[in-house]
Amino acid sequence: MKTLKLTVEDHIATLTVDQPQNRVNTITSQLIAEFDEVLDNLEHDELIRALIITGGKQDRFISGADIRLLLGFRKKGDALAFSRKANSLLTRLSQLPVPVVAAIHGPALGGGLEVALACDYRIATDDPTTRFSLPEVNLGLCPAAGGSQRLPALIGTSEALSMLLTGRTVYPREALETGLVDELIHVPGLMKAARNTARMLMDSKDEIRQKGAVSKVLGTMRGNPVARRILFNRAESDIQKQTRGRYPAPKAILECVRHGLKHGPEAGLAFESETFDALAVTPESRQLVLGYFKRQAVRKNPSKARPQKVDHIGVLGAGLMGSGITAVSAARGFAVTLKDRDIPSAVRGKQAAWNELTKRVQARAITEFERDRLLAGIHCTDSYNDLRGLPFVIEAVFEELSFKRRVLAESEEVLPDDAVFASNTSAIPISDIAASARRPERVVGMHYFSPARKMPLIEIIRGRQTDEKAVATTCDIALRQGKYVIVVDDQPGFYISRIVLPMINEAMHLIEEGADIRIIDTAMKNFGFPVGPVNLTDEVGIDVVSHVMETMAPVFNKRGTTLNQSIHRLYESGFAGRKNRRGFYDYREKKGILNRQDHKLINQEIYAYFGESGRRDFQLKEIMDRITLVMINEAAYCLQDKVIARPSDGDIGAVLGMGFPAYRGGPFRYMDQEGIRSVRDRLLYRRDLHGARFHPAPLIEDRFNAGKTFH
Amino acid sequence: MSTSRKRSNIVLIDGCRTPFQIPGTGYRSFRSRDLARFAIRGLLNRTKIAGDQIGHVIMGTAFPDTETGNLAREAALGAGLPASVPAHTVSMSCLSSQQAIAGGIGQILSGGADVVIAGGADSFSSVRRPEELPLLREVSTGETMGKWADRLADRLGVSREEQDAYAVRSHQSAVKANESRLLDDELIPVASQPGFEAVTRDNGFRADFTPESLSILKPAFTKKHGTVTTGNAFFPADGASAVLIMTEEKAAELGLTPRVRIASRSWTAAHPADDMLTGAAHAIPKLIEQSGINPGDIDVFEVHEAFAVQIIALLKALASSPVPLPLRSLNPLGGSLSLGHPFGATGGRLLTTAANRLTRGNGRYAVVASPGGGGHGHAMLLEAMDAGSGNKSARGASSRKTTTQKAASRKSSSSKAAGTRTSASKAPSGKTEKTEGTQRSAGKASSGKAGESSSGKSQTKKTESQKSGPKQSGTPSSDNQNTAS
Repeated sequence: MKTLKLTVEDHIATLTVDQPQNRVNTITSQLIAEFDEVLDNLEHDELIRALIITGGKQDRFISGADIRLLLGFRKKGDALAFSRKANSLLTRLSQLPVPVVAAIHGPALGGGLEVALACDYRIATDDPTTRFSLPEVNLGLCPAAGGSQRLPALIGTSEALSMLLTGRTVYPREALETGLVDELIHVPGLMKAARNTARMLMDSKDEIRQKGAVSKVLGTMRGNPVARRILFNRAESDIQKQTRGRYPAPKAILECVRHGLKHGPEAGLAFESETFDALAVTPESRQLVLGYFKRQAVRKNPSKARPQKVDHIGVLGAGLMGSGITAVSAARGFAVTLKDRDIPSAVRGKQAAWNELTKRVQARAITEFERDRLLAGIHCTDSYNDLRGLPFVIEAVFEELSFKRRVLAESEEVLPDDAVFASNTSAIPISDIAASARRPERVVGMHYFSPARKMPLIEIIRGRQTDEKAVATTCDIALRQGKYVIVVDDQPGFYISRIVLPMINEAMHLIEEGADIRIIDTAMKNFGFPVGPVNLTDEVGIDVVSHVMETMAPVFNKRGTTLNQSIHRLYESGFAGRKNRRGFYDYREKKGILNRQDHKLINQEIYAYFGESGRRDFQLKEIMDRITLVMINEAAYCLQDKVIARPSDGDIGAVLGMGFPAYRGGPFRYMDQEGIRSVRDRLLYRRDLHGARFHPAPLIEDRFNAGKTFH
Repeated sequence: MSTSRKRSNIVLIDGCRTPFQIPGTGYRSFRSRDLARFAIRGLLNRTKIAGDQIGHVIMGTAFPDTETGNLAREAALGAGLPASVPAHTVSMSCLSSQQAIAGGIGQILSGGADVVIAGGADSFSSVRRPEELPLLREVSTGETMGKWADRLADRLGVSREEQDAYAVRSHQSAVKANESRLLDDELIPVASQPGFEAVTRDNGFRADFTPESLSILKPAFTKKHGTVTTGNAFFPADGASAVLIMTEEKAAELGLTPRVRIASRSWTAAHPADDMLTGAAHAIPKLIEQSGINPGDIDVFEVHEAFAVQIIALLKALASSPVPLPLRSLNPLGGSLSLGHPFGATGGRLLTTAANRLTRGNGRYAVVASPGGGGHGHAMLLEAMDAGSGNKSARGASSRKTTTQKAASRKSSSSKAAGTRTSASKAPSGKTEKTEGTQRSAGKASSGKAGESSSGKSQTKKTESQKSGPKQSGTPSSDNQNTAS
């Protein structure tokens, strides 16, 4: 056997999972075959009186199914066989006449956790690398090996749903509290503790049964019919709210759990396998799995140059963005010198990091001490002098060219010659910022998205003079901040702003034509965006959007289209969006009215700026179509203009940077999937109705003529 | 002199402290280990020294936090120092951080570490049951510190008015120092948690204190007859301090510019029942004696203000000694009466403030002194790296003479680098010329004690007399912070 090793000592068998060729242990068809064989042996070996399952890697248990395995499920039935096999193996494991102890160190994810769930007893290390999750939902799938059945039985329906429906990570201390594991132990004591436990359990089999009984009672209590119905109803409405029916997986997982509770474990497992099979071939899941696979590539530094070693960075400006950047940096162990106009502003910027780290403390991912240590790495200052000697500085000051230039000049005064100056801007060309720089080759763009703590993408902009080492270093830091990166060319708006702007522009046209603001946002949320374009404008700020529009207008003028001017009118009339409580939506505080995201009121005042105030009916379909088309068309322009190097960058960027629905893969995958012809036809149709802004990008024509797709 | 006993000079690279806060205010959510962490990290930020250059961390704390244990270790790790840097905590009431610094010097001189961070912290906000602290009552005497202060006042006949006047002076000094931002050099900002308000200033000094407003306060310790009140006594505060010390050679190797040499130190102890609060009055003369410098060369005094009466007693005691203490040189930026007294942090503050004053004012020597609970006293002699002349070797040579020569046989002396030593010994006359050119060469009279404290080895009263510069009488003090009346 190549990946499994079975040793026996004192009647205790230890099964070690160790895939020699992999850094982590994943579930492969080979592993499954070998496991089958091992079970055969165990079922017939009467000398063995207990079994321990553990991971053989330095700090790895089993990290779930191999992603390539999932990509192999092409047609209905492929996944069914896999899931049934997995379920039957784990059922056999759980029915072994001897006690089975899982000894867990490192991540137990997906199938790895399901193996542990099928054991009688779980001991885990209290190490930070040890963590648990069932992340299938994030791939549009449900568990395939009993997770939806055994987890609720072990920790109760409510806790189980919170893991199953979000794929969230549970750290050791929480795992112990919820009963996901029975015991925690320090790393070096893991195997000894597992052996002691195995010996104890094999000498008194009753105890296991008792344990099982306890968790079952708990499970039933937490799931008494009335409470259960309430729980499920709430979960269902939450899912509906979050997915708008777009992602089938959460609902399917809920059904698996419900089915098991109603019809018993055996039926539950069978149902789970069928559900898994159905989900595996949905386009949503295909795109999510593919996207996941592709994103792994973006986890690597795209630049060939060798990055400089940086452990300490400077951040200029402690506003929303600066403090967010500080937070993600400090949380990843960077020392940060945070400079603002005055100390109180800088100190306030530190709060974002504290909030972020405190959340991690609450999730029991880190200790308070660790939080305080990371926080101590943030040095608040009001003086450029404190930047002296720093190898890397990120500027996050107000989005204005002259201001950014001044900050750059002042920084160059104190920074070492080889320091990188990264400018966080959503649209101002880096080469303009660097125009008067002493060392323009060390100036690079680093476009974070708001809120920086949450948004997973950073656009890295190579200015005309930026040298490769600066790009490599910037990518390296972004990756170490836990972000994904795409490197884009220095053209107005780069990639993300460039494709977002036409959406907002189209929304403005629609409002002018009489569309209701809420209908527009609803349409785009139905398409799968987390927020609609009008709401987004309020969030980003009407002032900022107006600014970006101005910067980017030439790009569109060159193509013979003009941008809608209403945003500028609003800006001039003092509308800035949420930040000054004057936007498309009503942000005035009202007593007794729930002004939640979902029930925001429209600021009726706004319609006066869009011609008449009477609204007319629009088909959601038309809105969705128009806004989507201008966006994907612009993405094609970006590829053609070499803003992005390849379609996959465009897809990943759109999904991670602007919330393009992941299950649709990204603009280019979407076009491929819809068919280039269909996209082209729809564009031409819209062009005839609404004008040149729908004129298909030449690249789309090319693909159409060549009969090719983007990928 | 004594190459065989050559000792490295210990220098202070930099020091800093958190602003001191009235308990229950800016630092109410912090324990002493948190404050110590801020101070250590602040020091690292300022000096930009790499953590792995630090050889040892020693922190003092007067009231060890039972929830912390080894405060220095927790603070050092929390500040991001490598786990490979040992750290320990010491305790000696008001002298805790002085003891930490002394321990650091000892570590360096004995070869235990090249570079040491020393300092201390105390937090009264995090004390659950303050009445259990030996804050004011000592076991050996059963008396409170305040009672001793009253007793001292009566023994020396110090009036209530004198005490209140000195207290007002302390507060006024702190107010002025804040207005002129002269404390900024030693302060590091702290972020309160979870509100993240910036704490950038001490918050205990009072611009509105006047002799009249203080006169209405009731005696705090000796009912009816006492003269010590909350207005003329120190107040407990939360805070931490940290200093970076190493040998002069190590500083050169690391490219760091030292502020001052720590030339000499003295410790004294007497029975608390006889000599409480007078420790500084014993420690200063002892220090001067053992270092052999001319007391007139001292431009800067920083003395811990436990009680106004204790300072007045010190002034009286020194007035009749060979070591004059001009009031204008004493605590012109405020003291423990006005800035507050976080017991374990005060020593680091005194050292840092004195070093900064010396540097700013181009002074030559500074004396840092403090009485401590238990009848202890401590004093430290600081020597400017370059007393304002452009001529290093000359100044170095003369200062070597003054401190080293007699102290050569003592451990705490500052011996010069070899080159300097040679030039000095070879060309004593040349030295004289050079010193004359310097701004602040000054010691006028030879102390006459030069040789006394030495073990009698090589001391010839050297060249004290040679140093008489033109300068001293004209400029009272170059420490322009001297605001005292």
